[in-house]
Amino acid sequence: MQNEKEIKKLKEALNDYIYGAIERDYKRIYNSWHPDAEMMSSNIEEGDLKRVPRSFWKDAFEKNPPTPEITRESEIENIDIHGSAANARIKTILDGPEKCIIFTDYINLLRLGEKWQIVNKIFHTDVIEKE
Amino acid sequence: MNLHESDEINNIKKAIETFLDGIFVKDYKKIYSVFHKDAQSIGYSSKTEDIMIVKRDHWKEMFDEYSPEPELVESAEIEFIDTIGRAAVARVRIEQEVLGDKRTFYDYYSLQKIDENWMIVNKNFHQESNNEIFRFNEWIV
Repeated sequence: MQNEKEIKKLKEALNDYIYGAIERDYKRIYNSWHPDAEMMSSNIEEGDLKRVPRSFWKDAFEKNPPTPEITRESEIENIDIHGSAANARIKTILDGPEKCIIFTDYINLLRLGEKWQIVNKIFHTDVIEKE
Repeated sequence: MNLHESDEINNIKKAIETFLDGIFVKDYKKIYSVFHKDAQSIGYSSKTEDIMIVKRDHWKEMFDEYSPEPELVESAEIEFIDTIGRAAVARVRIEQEVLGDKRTFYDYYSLQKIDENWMIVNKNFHQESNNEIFRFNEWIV
């Protein structure tokens, strides 16, 4: 059985990311996102690996106006911890009038002292077009 | 699990096994074939109390300077794989022993399918050992 105390602390880090994204608060995301952490994805069109630094969040919130017609919900689907390293799976659904986008994240975390930090995220995207 | 998912799991497993084989036989070319050029290996250092990051050249540099340790016994087991679409994660346990000194790594590999090949794009790990003063050089894995 995994350590409940560590899971609680790790969830705090994941919730900074989840609710930081919902509340468009990049400082909350930065709180649990290591400065060197990257988001990575690949798709058939782009071929190679796409890498994005954590400043993506700040830039996105500053450049793009809020979209109240799109809801964002996330669920932590799995957490696995071994000592100072962990991986988590999060599903996020962006539901809008034209389409629904489902992101599945695999997040690597490390414990730095008493705090967990996200050090990498990879993700897969599914898009469901609406009539 | 359908046939397609099963094939993908096998392909993911092969990529990880190629990486582990590269570690064990000290062949950086095997590592490079499945460890993306921009990928990093990240762990926590209790010495610096910060994360330490290495890129794949780390293994080439290490193998260039490597002197064989005949007493070294190494083994690895892929403990789980989870995948969706073109993304996957795996946990691997690596055990090393030299003359009674034991060290275990718990690695999480993040993989992405790029073109038709699964590549490790990130790795983070936890390390445990039964002896503070270890007989290994730092950073064998």
